Amino acid sequence: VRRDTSPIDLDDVSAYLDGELDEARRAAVESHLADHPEAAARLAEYRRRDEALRLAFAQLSVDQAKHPMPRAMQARSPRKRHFPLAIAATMLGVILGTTVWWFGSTILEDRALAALAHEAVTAHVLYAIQPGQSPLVTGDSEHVSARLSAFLGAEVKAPNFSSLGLRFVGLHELAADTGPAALLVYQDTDGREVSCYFKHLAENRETGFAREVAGGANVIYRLDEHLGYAVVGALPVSALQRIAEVGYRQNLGEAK
Amino acid sequence: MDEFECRLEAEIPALRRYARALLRDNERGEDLLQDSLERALSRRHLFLWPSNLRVWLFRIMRNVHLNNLRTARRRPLGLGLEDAGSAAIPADQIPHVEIMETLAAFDRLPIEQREVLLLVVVEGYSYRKAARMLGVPAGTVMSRIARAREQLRDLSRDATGPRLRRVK
Repeated sequence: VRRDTSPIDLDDVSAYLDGELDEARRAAVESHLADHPEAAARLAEYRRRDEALRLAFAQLSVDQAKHPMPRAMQARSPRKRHFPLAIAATMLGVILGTTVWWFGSTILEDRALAALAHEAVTAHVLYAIQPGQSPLVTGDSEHVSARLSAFLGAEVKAPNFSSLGLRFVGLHELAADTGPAALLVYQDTDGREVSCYFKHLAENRETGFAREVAGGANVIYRLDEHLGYAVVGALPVSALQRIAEVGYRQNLGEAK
Repeated sequence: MDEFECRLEAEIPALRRYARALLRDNERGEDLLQDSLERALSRRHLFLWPSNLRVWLFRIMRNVHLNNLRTARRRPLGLGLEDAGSAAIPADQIPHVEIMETLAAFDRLPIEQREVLLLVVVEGYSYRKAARMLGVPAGTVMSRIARAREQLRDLSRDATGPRLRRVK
């Protein structure tokens, strides 16, 4: 929901059409439209193009009857056969201590990325959830960012998540297999720990955000240039994603 | 059929429509649907009630699709929806040519914009729900759809041919 005072822009016009504005903002858009015929014309054109799209795609659902059942379900053998599989999968999950849900399966073969997620979760479980495991660096974000950059050998800003209600707890300086790694621990208003994991990488790689469920927490992670970045916490994926994106933007995203 | 399968089956129409619209090709849309359903069935033990099944399925479909795109190195899309806009379009206020023009513009949009238009405009999901399906913040959906509409407008206009242009 947008603030009522900012000027009306195209996002508002679009959101108005979708009924996504609160009452005050809607009224503001309406009076803007009354005063600006070109904005009203634009809205009318959006509406018309929307309608054209709906009409174009409406028929796609018509021939549903031709495909009553998905092949995957028709071809399936009786359900019992799935039980050993499910159990095996669960046991494997227990053995490994992780249940992995890959959002992009090409990532599965990506060792560097997999290692990053694994390390981040391990670090989170060892250092964030059980405090007092290693000396913590605390202080204001400038001080912590300086420490972080010096330790990793790359310029990294300690993310500030105060806009999302997260309080900074401290920085752990760790040693990963391939070099230094840093775990920044935060706490939300319910006292749940959220960790940001940073690692400097020799290779220059770029991936999108990937996600995984591991060790009872969600992990969101990506590689960007020479930096590995992961956010871990027992929070819903959507909340964690927001945190990950904010931290990412502060460091690597639009700022660069 | 157990409860999961029953509920899965109920979601198929929406998924099918989305798949076909996204690929702009009935056959490939059907393939995408089938691959996604297969994946959903093989991962059913990872679905936790009472999460939203539709959101879960859309996300699976989206990832299957993105994977296909990555592996297929972008074969040209949108060449096979032979029947779009032809017989089945109801005689409406919007002329056929304008619908085709909008579709042609739609095909030229980047995938993120096509996705968001399909979810919000065609399927009618709220920004919040579309955001969950796409795994982005609601604010991103808002700006993305605004950009998509602008693009659609610009591209559709290009398609209409030369308009009055400014001469030096």
